[in-house]
Amino acid sequence: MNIFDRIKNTLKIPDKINSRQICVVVFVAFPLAILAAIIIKPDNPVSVNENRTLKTGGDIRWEIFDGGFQEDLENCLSDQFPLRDNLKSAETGIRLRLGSGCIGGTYVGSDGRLFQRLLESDVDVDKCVRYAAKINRIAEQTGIETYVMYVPSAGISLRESMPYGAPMYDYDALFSALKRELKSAHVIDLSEALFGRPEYYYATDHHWTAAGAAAAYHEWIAAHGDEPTDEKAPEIITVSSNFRGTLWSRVPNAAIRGEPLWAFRVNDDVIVEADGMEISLYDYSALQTKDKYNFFEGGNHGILTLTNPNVKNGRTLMILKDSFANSFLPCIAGDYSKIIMVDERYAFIDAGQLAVDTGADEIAVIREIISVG
Amino acid sequence: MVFSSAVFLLIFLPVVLLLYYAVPERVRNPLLLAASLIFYAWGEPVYILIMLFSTVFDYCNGLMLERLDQKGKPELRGWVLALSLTGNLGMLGFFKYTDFLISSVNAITGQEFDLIGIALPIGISFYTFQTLSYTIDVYRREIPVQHNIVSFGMYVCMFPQLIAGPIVKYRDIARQIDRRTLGADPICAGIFRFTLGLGKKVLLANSFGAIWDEISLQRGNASVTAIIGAAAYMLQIYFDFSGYSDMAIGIGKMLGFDFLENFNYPYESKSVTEFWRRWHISLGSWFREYLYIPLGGNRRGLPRQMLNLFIVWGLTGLWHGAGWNFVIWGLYFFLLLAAEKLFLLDLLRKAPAVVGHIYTLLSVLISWVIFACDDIGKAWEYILSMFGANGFADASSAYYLRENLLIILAGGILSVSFVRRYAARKINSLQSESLRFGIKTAVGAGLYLFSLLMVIESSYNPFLYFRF
Repeated sequence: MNIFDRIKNTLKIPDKINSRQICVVVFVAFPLAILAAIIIKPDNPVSVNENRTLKTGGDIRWEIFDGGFQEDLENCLSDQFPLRDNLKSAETGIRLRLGSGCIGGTYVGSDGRLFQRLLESDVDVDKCVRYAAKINRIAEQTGIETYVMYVPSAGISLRESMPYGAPMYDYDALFSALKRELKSAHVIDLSEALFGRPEYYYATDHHWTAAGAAAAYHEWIAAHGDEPTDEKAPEIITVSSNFRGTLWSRVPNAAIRGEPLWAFRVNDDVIVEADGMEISLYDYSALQTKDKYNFFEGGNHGILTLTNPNVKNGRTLMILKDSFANSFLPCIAGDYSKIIMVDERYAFIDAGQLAVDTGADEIAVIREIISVG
Repeated sequence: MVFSSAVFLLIFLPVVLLLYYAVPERVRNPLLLAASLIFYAWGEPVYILIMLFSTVFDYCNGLMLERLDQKGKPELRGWVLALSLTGNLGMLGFFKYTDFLISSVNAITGQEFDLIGIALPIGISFYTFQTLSYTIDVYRREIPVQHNIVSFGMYVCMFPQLIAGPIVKYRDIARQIDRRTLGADPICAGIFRFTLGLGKKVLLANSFGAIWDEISLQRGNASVTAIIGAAAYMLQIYFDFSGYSDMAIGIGKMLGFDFLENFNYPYESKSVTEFWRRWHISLGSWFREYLYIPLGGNRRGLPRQMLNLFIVWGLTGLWHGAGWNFVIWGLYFFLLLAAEKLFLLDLLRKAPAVVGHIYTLLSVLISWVIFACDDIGKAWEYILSMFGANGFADASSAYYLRENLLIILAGGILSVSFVRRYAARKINSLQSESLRFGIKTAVGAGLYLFSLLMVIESSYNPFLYFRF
């Protein structure tokens, strides 16, 4: 008896098969057909939208006893599933149409604006406080004027645009706790400048816009004892009309449209070096990719140095930052002869020692309030 | 390996079924054993040795019991049973409870003994109870001894119920182990049951789990928010566990087995006693047959019955997990069940049915909070917040209500038998057999496709550079 006859016998398939037998055959054949499609179609090594590499057949480790093979095979099947992006988009579309206020850890505001959901449990308050204490120590030990600019998350600033009652971390309590630690630094409170201004944050990304950065720049000037005027901030230009940021990646659906990416007009004379190489302040090639926020300095670098030969005041500023500072940097590029920007997530250095060694006249901390070094 | 994974749905299950239907009948048991070992080893390559030891150990115990009868030394049979109990429970105790014991001793005495830190072998609580049921039944001469180690191994290791039950007693499937009938009709019924379970797990339980995870992590919840969280957990645990049982029963049918039901709409019970007759039936019946009744059940007077209940429910709690919250959870049910046996059940019978329903749901709701929180203090705090310790409602209550009310209502409706009975009546009233089948197939196919989509979707994980 051959295999087909045996299956036919098991299922008691007569010459004319009935619907139940078809059902069994389809139930077995359908997943195998998907499996065949995954094997046959060329592997997709990168998910542009997710900004990560995908697991391909060639990446599978053959380590069965430590579970590497099992984990890789599962990831490979999911990552290489046919029409994966389309299915995700369709699923997101269904959730959007059902009026879901939170998709994939992202709040969907009434006007389609996306917000990162940051609950109390997502914020490591102790770590934030420890970092603030470290900055205070640096300010005390080096005696260098230190300015701290904590950026409120979009969901804090634009509470009115969020789904009503959507929980977020307690900004006021966190800001107060950090301010208490920073006795020897100037803490710039951005809440008044940024709260309730939708144009200051991207609708599809967690960062502030150039307009938001410019508003913060006004506060920065005021904290330095100057009179802020509109003329002092550089002109804002649109560099892309179709920016879909990190939050869109979590809610990838055509119903949520792209938006303009804004930057500041700066003179071409600035010299920017990062990781031992000269780079551009603006990376125009990033505009051709999904991750357009990398337009600013080509993304994050451990240590970046900006020298502006047009500024003759000889002042040096050291910035300890996260990616919010990337779009802020062009704004202050005209105020210092030299700016050293340190991203402590990529550069493991003693920040206080670096400030002394480089002769910094000022230290600035520019980061989203919940992010720590 | 878990059922709701791409490897299981796209490779393991279809390949095993294809081979199973294609090989001659005598090869099916070895095939099923091999497949089950791969299924288990997928997640636990090393711990498979423990399961194999358990299998061989009780296989030998069964043979020894038979041999002692044949040799006319039945008085020694008790020693074999004692050996089996010591071996099985000793292994379960070592792997599951050693660290719990050490940390409890440390907490009480202030000592700092090192924990041994071994991971719990998956499914050990289930297969240990299965092998014990075999040895005890052989000891009681209620079932014949299984001489074929492959057949016995297949019973212990069978992948459908290996990880999350139901606890299949050997005698319930003894006949099917050696001879099963297959056909498109039962296989189709199994497929439908499997897709129902998959949908329960992936579409419902996971959604409810996300709600509970979010709310339970927050402190100071208003009453409405806390109740939404607890209700979500109550539905998650039901759909998760009964979904797994549905999938196990469904795969069993596809392979020619008839496993007993494990859930019977427990949330429509009118008392906690009734709830435990409908929830995790296979565990309840195991404890009743192999512990409560041997202890004397209700035949030795009320004080002894209360003591027996106390022992059974303390151990039932401990079976669910190595933590004090599980012990308290079990003893909480002991108190309720004892109260019901003493007077409450009579009162409930006289009261309108709705009183029994509300009492049962509220009691069970609170029990799940104790179950879910491994920190007793946190459980207490959460229960207090359900009763208004932080106010009745706030803005986030409105948010959680708006976001989750529909799915919680849908879950509540689907967790009672009304919808199934209504749908069954409507479908069965249709004249056309093919239409009846077509509707069920469409429902099953829809559930399968959506569940598969959600399994794939869960891997969709945007890498946000700013966090790194």
